[in-house]
Amino acid sequence: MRIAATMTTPDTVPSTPACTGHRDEQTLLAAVAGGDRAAAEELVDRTYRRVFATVARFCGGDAELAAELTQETYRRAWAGLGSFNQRAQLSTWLYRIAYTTWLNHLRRPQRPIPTESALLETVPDPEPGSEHRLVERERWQRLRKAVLDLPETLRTTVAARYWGELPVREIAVLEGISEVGIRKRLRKAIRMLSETLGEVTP
Amino acid sequence: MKTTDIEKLLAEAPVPPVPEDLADRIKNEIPAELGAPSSASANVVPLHRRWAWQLAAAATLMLALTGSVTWELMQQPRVPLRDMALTSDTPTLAEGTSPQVEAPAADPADATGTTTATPAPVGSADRLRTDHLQETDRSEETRARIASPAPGIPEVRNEAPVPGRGGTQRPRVETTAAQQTEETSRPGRPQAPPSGDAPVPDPTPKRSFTGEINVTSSYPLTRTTSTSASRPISPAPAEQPTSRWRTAPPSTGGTTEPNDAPYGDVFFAEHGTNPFIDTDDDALSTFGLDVDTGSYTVLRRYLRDGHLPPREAVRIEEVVNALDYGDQPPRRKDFRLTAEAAPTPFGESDRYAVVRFGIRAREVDTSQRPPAHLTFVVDVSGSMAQENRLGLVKRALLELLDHLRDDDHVALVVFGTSGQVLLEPTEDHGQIRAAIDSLAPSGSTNAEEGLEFGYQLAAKQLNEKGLHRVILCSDGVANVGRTGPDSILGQIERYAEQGIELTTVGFGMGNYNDELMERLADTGDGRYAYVDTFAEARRLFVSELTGTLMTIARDAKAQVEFNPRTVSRYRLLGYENRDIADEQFRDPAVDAGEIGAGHSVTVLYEIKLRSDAPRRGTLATLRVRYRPAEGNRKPVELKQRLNLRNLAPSWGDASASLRLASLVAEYAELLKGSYWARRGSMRDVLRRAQQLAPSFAGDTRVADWISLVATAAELRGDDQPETSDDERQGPAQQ
Repeated sequence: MRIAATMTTPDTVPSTPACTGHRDEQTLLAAVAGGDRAAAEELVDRTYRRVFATVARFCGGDAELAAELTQETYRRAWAGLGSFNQRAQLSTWLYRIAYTTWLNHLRRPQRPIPTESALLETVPDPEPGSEHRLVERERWQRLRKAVLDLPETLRTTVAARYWGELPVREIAVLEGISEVGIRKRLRKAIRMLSETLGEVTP
Repeated sequence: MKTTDIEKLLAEAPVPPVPEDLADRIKNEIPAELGAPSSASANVVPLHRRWAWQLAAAATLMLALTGSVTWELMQQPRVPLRDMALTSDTPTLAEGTSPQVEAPAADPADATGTTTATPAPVGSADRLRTDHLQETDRSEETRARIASPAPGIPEVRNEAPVPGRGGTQRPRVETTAAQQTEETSRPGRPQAPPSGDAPVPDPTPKRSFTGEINVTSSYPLTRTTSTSASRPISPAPAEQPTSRWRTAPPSTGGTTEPNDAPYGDVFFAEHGTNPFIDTDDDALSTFGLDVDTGSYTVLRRYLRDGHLPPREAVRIEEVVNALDYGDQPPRRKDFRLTAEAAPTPFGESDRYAVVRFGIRAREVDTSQRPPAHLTFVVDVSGSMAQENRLGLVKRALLELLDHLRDDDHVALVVFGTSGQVLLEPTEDHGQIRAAIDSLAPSGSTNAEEGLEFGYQLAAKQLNEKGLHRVILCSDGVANVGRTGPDSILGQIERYAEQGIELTTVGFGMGNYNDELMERLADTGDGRYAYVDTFAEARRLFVSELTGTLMTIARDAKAQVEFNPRTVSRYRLLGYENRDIADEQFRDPAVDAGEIGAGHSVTVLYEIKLRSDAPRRGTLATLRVRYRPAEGNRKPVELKQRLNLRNLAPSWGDASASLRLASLVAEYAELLKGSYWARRGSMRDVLRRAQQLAPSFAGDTRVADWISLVATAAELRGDDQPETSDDERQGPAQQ
């Protein structure tokens, strides 16, 4: 409850208004599935910023890698149109593909597999910004590492909620547990994160 | 860093600017042929390859079908067996309560490989035991018609020669296996087994015995059987909804007619019995603490009504925790830990000892506790009219009212067919009294709506300082509303997060759902109690009011570390459904028990001392870890060591508390039909308890318990000498 109340969509991500209409999505998807290329382009326009934002957070801010993975996400999406579950939301479906894409990227043998901590250090800082932003970034990177170090169920839940910005209801569908279970996980995760980071920060 | 900061930071994770050409890059990759129903790529597959694909699919389908048919065939024996349990086995079942049948019924646990018939000093009794083991082995073997086993399996720790067993063990046991076995083995082992005609039902057909073997336990067994692994695989989590929400098999509790349960539709869940664990394999024993006492009163209810309770109604730790062992509350800290040990008369040899750890929470004076906001959610459905259940609730509530402070608030929600707010939160005792008086039974049971209204009322009053409780008084059957437990549980969990805890109080027996009530309280971070008499209601609502209301510690876990140099093996009594993986002891993500003010928790172990143990040294170390409910809520860990010199020289030298606790545990184990108590007798417990009675002269609860033992002994009719079973079977084999 409490978590949900404070969780507003951050300003950094322009949320396209059309993203919310469930019925619209359905018709759009039906059109895409029917082979309507224009519909597919509209779908991309509506969703790609969010997908990119999600993937970018997974990658720790590496814009080039994120763009690449976003492209791959859509490639997979076109191939998997048939697998779209009518009850799920478009954003959830795309998130799931994006997440899998990222995981696959991590497992990909031909690339050096960035371990969680290595990823942190090797990722270039694409946007230096002001002094203040640097501090913020630094804090955020530490948090990101802490998230990646969470137990798996908590990590995926946190990723979906905060990086994927999925509503709790949708995560519940994704993870196959109750909404309350998700909230409980989030609460636990945040408690753990605050403990982990509490040790470092005064 | 504060949690709110973390949330903010998480939500505001920086995102690099979106590359300008990204949209185009994506769009360029939109395939020419979009939207094939299956997948885009399938569309471009040439025709002949599609044919091949379909052929492959057809072949797979056929394989799958054949497989499922085979599976069906393998499953089939279950059906006749279960039928038999209901029909042809009746004569054997009639003896279900006598020790002769009971012992064999528990026997399959021999196969856990943890049985130790002491090898060196084989006294006559020991020999009898060994023979007995062999006898049952053989009968089982013939019954299952399996050839003799792969010899020389090193992992198995059977000291007694047990043929045909070792090779059949497998390291990991599915819960379903245990369940299935439970169903089929319930009727007791038939002496002339009709089941010989049918193969022993088993989910893994190749290994005919696994089902039988693990009759008493599912996950804890993995520890003993998989000794080849250096570290035990983390056991299944204590909560396994899929296995827990099943209907209990027909109760065997009846003493007159087999399969005729004394009460209709009573739901319990079986969690098995903990096995002995070798300290060489795993010297750590970890579990969540539990202060529930529901099981004690449920058993009492059965016994008082002249029935032996069904085994699955027994949760040993709840029975043990129901009595007071005189542990003193601490003055300043949250808990005082005590540890003691003595040789036990219930062990297999004189090297066995019982260990008692006492964990006593500090007391909080009624005047010092924060004001309470109690929301009672009372079941007024038709079933509550039976046995004057509602009458009991009303009397209990009125009694409680007299002991509330003036600044405590009470709200009242009733539910029958639908929920209804009877009384908005108020301090006005007159109003409360009138509302309680007006309670009358009607309709069906929509517990969900009742709880929902109750929580809404409670949430309205939510403030930082107060104690917020929703107290559900029901016979535990939600038959209207979203009855799936998950929907109710989900809501409860959410409110528990906000600080509204749930206490469940069970009333009545016919149509009673013990399992649901315990689970609800567990989820709601509260406590489960069962009220069978007015005295019990008084105890719960009045004497323990502060403790019931005020939580001292959250997620309380215990870990006992045994010293492998002094202790060769150990067995935790009870807490079967509270098991926690050793490595999760310090994991804040793992839920465990809540402990209220003044509560005490008693933990019992049966241990076997090493013959070559040094004279001095540690036996075990108890660690308790919890989050204080108040203050900074950082986890706290307490430690108490038990040394060899704390071990009393004999049973007679042991403290009265220790003796009482182990007698109570033995009583519970006998009622549970525990394998480890197979040679015990209720008469023996009664005799010892009566000897002990003077030490607890002022404690009516102990007197009450002794009368229960007497009733149980009478109902079981096990007044024969303890070893009659062995004597009868042993020589027959020789």
